[in-house]
Amino acid sequence: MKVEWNGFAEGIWTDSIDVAEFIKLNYTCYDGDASFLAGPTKRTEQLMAEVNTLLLKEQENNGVLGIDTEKVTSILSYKPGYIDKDKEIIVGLQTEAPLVRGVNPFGGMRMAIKSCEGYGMNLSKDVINQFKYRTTHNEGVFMAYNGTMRKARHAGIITGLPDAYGRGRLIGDYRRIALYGMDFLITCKKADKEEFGDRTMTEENIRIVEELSKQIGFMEQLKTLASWYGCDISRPAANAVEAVQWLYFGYLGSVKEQNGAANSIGRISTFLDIYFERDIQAGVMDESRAQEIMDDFIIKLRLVRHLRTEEYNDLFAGDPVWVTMSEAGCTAEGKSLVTKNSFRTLQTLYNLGSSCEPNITILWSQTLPQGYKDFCAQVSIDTDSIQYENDDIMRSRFTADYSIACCVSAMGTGKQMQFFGARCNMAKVLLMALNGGKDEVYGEQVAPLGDIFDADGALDYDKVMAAYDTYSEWIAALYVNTLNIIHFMHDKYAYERLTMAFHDTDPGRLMAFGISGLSVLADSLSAIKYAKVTPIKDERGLITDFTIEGEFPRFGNDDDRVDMIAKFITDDFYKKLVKTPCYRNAVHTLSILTITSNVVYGRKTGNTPDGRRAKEPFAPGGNPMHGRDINGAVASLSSVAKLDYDSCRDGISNTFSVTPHALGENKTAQVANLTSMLDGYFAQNAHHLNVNVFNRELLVDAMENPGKYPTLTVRVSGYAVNFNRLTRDKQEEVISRTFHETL
Amino acid sequence: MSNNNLNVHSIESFATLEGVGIRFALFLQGCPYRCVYCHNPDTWYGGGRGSIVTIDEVFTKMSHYKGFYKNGGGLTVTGGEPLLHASKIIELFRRVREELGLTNTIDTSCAVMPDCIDELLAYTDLVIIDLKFHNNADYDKFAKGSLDNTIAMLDKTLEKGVNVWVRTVVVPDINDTTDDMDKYINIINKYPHISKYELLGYHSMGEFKYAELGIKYALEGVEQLQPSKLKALQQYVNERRI
Repeated sequence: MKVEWNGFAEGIWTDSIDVAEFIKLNYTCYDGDASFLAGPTKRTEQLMAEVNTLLLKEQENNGVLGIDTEKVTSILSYKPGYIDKDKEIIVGLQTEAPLVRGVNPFGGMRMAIKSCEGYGMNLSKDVINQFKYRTTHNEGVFMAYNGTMRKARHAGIITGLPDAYGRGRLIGDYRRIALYGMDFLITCKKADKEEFGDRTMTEENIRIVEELSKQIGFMEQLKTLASWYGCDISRPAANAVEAVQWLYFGYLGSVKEQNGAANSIGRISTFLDIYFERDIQAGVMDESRAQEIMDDFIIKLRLVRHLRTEEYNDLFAGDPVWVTMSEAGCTAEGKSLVTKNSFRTLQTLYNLGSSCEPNITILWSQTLPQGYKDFCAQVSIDTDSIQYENDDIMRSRFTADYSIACCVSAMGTGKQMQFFGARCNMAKVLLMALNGGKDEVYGEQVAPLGDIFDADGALDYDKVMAAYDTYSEWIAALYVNTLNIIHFMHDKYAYERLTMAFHDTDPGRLMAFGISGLSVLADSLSAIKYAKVTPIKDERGLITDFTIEGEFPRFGNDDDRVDMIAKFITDDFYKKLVKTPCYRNAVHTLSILTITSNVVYGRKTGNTPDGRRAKEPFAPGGNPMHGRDINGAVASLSSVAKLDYDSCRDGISNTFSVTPHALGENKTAQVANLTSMLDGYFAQNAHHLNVNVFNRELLVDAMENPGKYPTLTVRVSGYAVNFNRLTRDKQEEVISRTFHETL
Repeated sequence: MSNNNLNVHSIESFATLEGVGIRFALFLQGCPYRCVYCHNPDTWYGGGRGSIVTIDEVFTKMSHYKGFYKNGGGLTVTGGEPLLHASKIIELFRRVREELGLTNTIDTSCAVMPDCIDELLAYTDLVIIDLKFHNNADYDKFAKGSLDNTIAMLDKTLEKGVNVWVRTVVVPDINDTTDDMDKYINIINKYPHISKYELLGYHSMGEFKYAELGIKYALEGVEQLQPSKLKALQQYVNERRI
């Protein structure tokens, strides 16, 4: 036993990397309530005041406080930076000053230049010259795209692809640094490199060995970075402050190296609680100090920034980075993993004020202690800052020690990685099927040529479904092939050397496809089936509008006639995706998640047979269309719960907005009703819920008077944003969503 | 209409103010009263309006939602005047209690006293009684109803030992004085089984429905009751309850 492990129960974890087992053998389950928690210390309040000043300046400065245009971001590009050195407990910034963004041209030089120009700055000539003779990820992808892929991308049938930005959605197991120290981890990777080096040198094996070599180099660099801040992370962490600091260095190094969307921090609270408990039991720390360390750590996570292009901000509005933190859940045996530190993470939302980052994600199980469920509900009601995902359906499918990346993507922590794949516009697939493969907006022949449906009578459901079948089959194959190119090139030109060092060698790989416009498509097919929908052609001879006569069931009312159509769409599309193999033998997964791209996709899509007008936003994620779920929240949630998680293992996002009054007559009733609702929803094997508790009037007022609400946080689709950072059209879309209210 | 059919105005599957916990609120069509402040005038008329839903359909939906209602929640029948449908509700209540283990609530204006009231109350966990006015004259003037009916229901629920909440909608210039409150409290204090007495402030959010239905809105121009005034009156009655 290493001296730093004094007091820990031994197991397999002492000889080989097994953080999950370490947790299981050493954590202290807490089933009490929130009354033990401590408020902010004077130091925390002072430091947070300084941070708030900076955040305000950032907001006033068009959302970006500064850009370091002279350097290329990497682990050792910047000298140590501080907010206020004497006041900080956990140290380390991405660049030399808080909120100043680094430039990352590995994804594509054109994007890096455009990002700087977008904020009135110019990237230094030195940086541009450095990249003159190297191929970027973006260039690699476009060398391999064929004509159809380019057309599909242009028409907006598959968009938001990570071909012009880092793919992200990776979760390094940064806990390993605290538990084992870097030297042991490097030794393990070197041993792996020897082992793989002795195998038959297939293309895949060579790639793995090369990747291991890159990982080891960057692991050494991380040690150097820590030493600049006065820390020796070559050895394990000896106490709670070190455990938090060591772990944070791993995350910091990752976000310095690469700017992938949604690099998440994993499942760390209960792991860290073991260190806090040991220090508290030893009498060297009290609750106030433990909370102070967590508060300081969370401040650091709130400052993570990446430089983005305008197009990126359009898809993922509000400048999110998705420092997703996964909380609670159960062991494989079904025992609660809630500790006091699970409460402390939530308490930061009171001590530091509400915030969209980190993206706190509660892994909800029916068996979590009531005291914790109640505190989560209270935090939701007070801050609108957290989301919920169903541990009872995930832990058996991803091993119990999984984490969430981004919004709803589960993966075994350090055991699996994801090839992120944006999403396919399903409403447009239907319109293309009706128009013989032509795009209804540009008129271009994107998909294979087929017959345009007649406009002299009502659409026949069976004929429409046959055409939809053909065109969804076509897009599924195109989609997989496009992603294969993207991830081949990403591995080749923008491999995440440090983040992947905190994964097992040759981890399980998931390729995450996505769909948007699910409820628009389901309602459109329902209209064609149950009402009379007659197409209207424009002067080009393309179907661009519809007359709808009669009633039809709408998704979100617990009506199987349409809910089963929605379920069919997801099951069917997943089956079609699986027919085309993925790069590196990745396993296909599918998400129903849009982030804020539901607005962008809607803008690119013509009138649909459900009565939605051209350019109108889609509903986000798996949500029913705005205002069409008219039988109350339970019916609406029950419709979404019918979508099968086994077809959508990359997550099914649902965003729920309720007025405080409709949730209950007082806070006690509201908390009880919200926990009941979450229990009820997840008992139906539903996957995810964003919870917003506020009045529509508040949002309208915030839209007109942003200054009055500097920290107003809303959950949109798998993440939270500061409402003020949304553009007007996205604010309007949030306001137009179904609010469950009562007269 | 067959014995299994209910004339339903609408369903709210997530009701939290109509009893304990989260509830399935079934708004039934038809009401003999004509309250001037009613915000659901579209529930007044029976036959031909609303949609026909069978007891089985309601029960099946509720079974599906059971997990949401486990925290003391269940079914609330409201309307309209749910007691117009009393005999059908008995069967529904019986199944909700016996097969789903959930609670039953009636939210009523007491406009009618059904013959089968004893049997219905045997399956009822809570009756929410709308005490509109404290005298028969006002009841007739503002609701085309009578206080006697409400008193009869209070007596009946007392006799059967069913838990009761009472609510009163307070309308500016109609029943918003402390003198009015004294009179309400006189009635309330006679019934020890009333576990909660709650005042609700008048609002005009249902006014648009009158225009849609082509009915003249009697309270046109009356402002909503100020929340501060409602709070003061609630405190006033709380202090005087036995």
